[in-house]
Amino acid sequence: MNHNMNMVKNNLNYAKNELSNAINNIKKFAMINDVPLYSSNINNIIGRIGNQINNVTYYIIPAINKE
Amino acid sequence: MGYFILNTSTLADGINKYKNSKRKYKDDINSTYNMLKNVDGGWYSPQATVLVEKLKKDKYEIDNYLNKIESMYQELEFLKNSFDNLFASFGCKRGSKLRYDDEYYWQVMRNLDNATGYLNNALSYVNSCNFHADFKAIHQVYVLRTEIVNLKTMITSIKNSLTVFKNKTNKIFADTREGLKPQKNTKLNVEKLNYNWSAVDIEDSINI
Repeated sequence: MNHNMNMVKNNLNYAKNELSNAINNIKKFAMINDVPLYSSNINNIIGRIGNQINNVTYYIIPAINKE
Repeated sequence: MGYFILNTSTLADGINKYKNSKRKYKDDINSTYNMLKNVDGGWYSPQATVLVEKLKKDKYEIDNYLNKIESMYQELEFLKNSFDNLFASFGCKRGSKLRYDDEYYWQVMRNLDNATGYLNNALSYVNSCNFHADFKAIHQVYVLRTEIVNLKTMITSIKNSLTVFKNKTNKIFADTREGLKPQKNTKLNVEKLNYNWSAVDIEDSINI
């Protein structure tokens, strides 16, 4: 299960990177008043993914190790 | 379609400047007429008659020219209003500046699809773990699953909104370009407006 949870973390990190790339490409695609469209929504998702990475690191994996 | 920057505030300023200059032109023509009427016996003076005839001819040509330009400015006004409405529907203020290049639309979609793919992978790994009901962090696992599903939904919604934006933007330009096709005998270089949408060019064309 530890392996699976590490894979969850890896995939969440990959998702974060892709979302950062999305913002960089939106900068070239559509900006209104120099703000990329939906960048705040995407940043919000990136933040929430970060929270879940912490959730896995600090709660779920230690709980698995204690079992 | 390619790259352009459009600033509807600048466009509005240009349109207003043009309208004011056109109003001034009409006032000037009228005052010249009135002045000529009173020169040396009015309309019957030979010198005045020659001048009036010349002025009439010039006035006719200039009016013709201005009417052609007028239709182009109506198109620009349509463009400005359409974009301002689009900005408003996306929660942005009217008179905003848009930088746009739909060549990058598919790259953004690919990034968002990849992110969704990674979230799906993460979900599969979570689901393949057999947590028993009394597992200490079972609540955190529930939060993790729910959050991944929610984030996927949010990404789908962003993708849909970006697609709506692209389609509406391209439609406004398609509609406007149709009306802005170069007209015969129009001295103004509307060709430039048709193929290069940068704000500078639009502004230059307004300052005729």
